[in-house]
Amino acid sequence: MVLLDVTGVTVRFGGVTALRDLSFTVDEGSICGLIGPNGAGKTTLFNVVSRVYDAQEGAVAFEGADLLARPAHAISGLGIGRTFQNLALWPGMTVMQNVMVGAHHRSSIGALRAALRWGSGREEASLAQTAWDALEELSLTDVAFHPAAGLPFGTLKRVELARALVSRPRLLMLDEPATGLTQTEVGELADLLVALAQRHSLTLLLVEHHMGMVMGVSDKVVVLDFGAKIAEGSPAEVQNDPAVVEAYLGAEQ
Amino acid sequence: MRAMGAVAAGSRQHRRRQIIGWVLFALVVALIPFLIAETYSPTIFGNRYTFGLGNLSQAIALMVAILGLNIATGYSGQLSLGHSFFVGSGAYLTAVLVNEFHWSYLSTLGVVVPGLFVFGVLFGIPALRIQGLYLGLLTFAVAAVFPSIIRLDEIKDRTGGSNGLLIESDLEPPTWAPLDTVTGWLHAIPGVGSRVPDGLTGRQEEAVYKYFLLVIVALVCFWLVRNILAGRVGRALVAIRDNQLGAAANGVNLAAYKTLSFGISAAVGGVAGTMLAMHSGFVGPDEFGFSMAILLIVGLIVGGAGTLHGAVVGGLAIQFVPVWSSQTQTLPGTDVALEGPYGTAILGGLLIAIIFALPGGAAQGFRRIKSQLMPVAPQPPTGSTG
Ligand SMILES: Nc1ncnc2c1ncn2[C@@H]1O[C@H](COP(=O)(O)OP(=O)(O)OP(=O)(O)O)[C@@H](O)[C@H]1O
Ligand SMILES: [Mg+2]
Repeated sequence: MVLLDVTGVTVRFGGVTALRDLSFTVDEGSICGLIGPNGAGKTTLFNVVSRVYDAQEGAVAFEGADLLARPAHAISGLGIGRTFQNLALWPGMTVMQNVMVGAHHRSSIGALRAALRWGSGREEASLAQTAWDALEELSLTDVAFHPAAGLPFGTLKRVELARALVSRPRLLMLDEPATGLTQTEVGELADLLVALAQRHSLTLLLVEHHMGMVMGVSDKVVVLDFGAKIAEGSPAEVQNDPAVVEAYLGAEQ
Repeated sequence: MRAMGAVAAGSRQHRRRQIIGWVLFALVVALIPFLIAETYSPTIFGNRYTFGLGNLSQAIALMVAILGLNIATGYSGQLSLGHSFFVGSGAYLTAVLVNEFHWSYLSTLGVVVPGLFVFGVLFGIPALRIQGLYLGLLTFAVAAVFPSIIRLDEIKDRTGGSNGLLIESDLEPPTWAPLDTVTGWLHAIPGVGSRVPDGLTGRQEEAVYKYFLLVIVALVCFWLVRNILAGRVGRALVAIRDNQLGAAANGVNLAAYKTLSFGISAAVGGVAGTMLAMHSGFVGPDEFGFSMAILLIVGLIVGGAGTLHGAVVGGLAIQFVPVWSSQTQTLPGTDVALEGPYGTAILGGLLIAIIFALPGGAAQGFRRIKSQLMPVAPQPPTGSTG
């Protein structure tokens, strides 16, 4: 069953066309790799799905519902979580608090009830528990009470992953999760992602420059170049596609 | 420099330490008015300084004003230079309700709080489209017109125009309040007792009673605001301040929380206005102009934006620093006379010093010292295995 359906999406920034008539689908329960040279439009697609950028043309459906009709803050509630290429954490909050915000849409105590302590203690305790469980799952409990500022980049990337997990997403979009990791760590991350996907019945949309990792975990890979899709298929098909080889060789020269 | 080992958060030791802290706090708060009911005026390095109950009561109202400003500006990061508008509106609402409808001071809060909340929300709507310095400029303009609005011909009869309004209600202590008795006891304590008068004059009794009323209102405000900010809503506001993209992606409705923060901010500011009206029994248009708006921002920064203790320090600072600096008439320890507006200059100097020495404000500094001397180890939630 198709979970995410991107149809004919075009995004322009002034003269730059960041996405050009892009269409592809992601099946429920699958891992879909999204690759392409720098500036190909991968992050832009994430931003369209999370409603940060407007698409000039096209449609995006999640479980058949029109995503582009929803405001940005409704997306996590629909079941789409994401991590950011350059992090979008809150440096002054502790790691634990950062992760607790991930469960914002799953909690409901507003200002009035909080002011009067009307049920806020119980909800707060359950949020803390949820966050702690995610931190345990990602081996982050050691830094739970550390402010997010000042931790290594790789750790913060995992904090973002924990934050996305507590929102209980069905689709999880990861923007370059392996940045800054060593070769062995990349292997561990790949195993972790596959395990998480199984344990939490996640569908993954994975942007990553680390080809070994993408090709190793993905069921399907979509390749972008200058905003347009140039190939789509199984890792093996994509790797041998002349257009893909050309795009990457061209990018390296 | 660790005086004690880290105690586990929520442990018995930690609780005990907190209780001792609160008892000491309560004692200081309860005894201070008696000690300074008769203005305390020591001479330090050749200058005579005053420490009076009136100034302290005013500082308490200013703490609440800064507490309100802190919500919109300190926590959710929206520069509001117009907070004096809310404080002034609260003060005038109280004055009019007391004078024309003979309400008691405290019952006017029933109108001030919801009224100012709605007002703040309306104010927050344009603030959704503008940010940073532009928002600062817009709110500053609003602060600047407040005195002119009060003087408008159409409402001059109500507001008293330039003359202000004398509030026709006294706050007399109820007969059961044992103010005189307590003073007598304190007077009998050897040593310290000599600072306390033998009994209180009528005016002093009234001042002490007002002080306690203001303290109670302030404590309730701080408690409510703390409850809001300590949890989900507080995290959402800080998330908006520090990374809007991340906040929205995690389901935080930016528009709703920003307007909410302006609403709460204005409501608390309105309470501060009511407190100022209670304190002085008078409201005048120029009290609530842009100089107050700036002073509140100064207090917020000096005390520490984004912390609750910062509002306490900030309120004391903006009340006492100008008073004490204007009382510094000779260069401390010398005969060299100082002339001119030293109060503002010293406040400005303090602001610069704080920004360099303690970027998070005084509260940050206190917190650092406290975590050094009395470290507390946060604990995982109780249901977890680790
Ligand atoms: N907010 C923006 N304003 C203007 N141009 C933008 C904006 N965001 C992206 N672009 C442009 O759109 C194009 C695609 O950018 P995008 O960030 O999506 O690439 P990417 O595939 O994620 O690249 P990388 O691998 O380097 O992260 C680039 O040319 C970029 O400069
Ligand atoms: Mg990118």
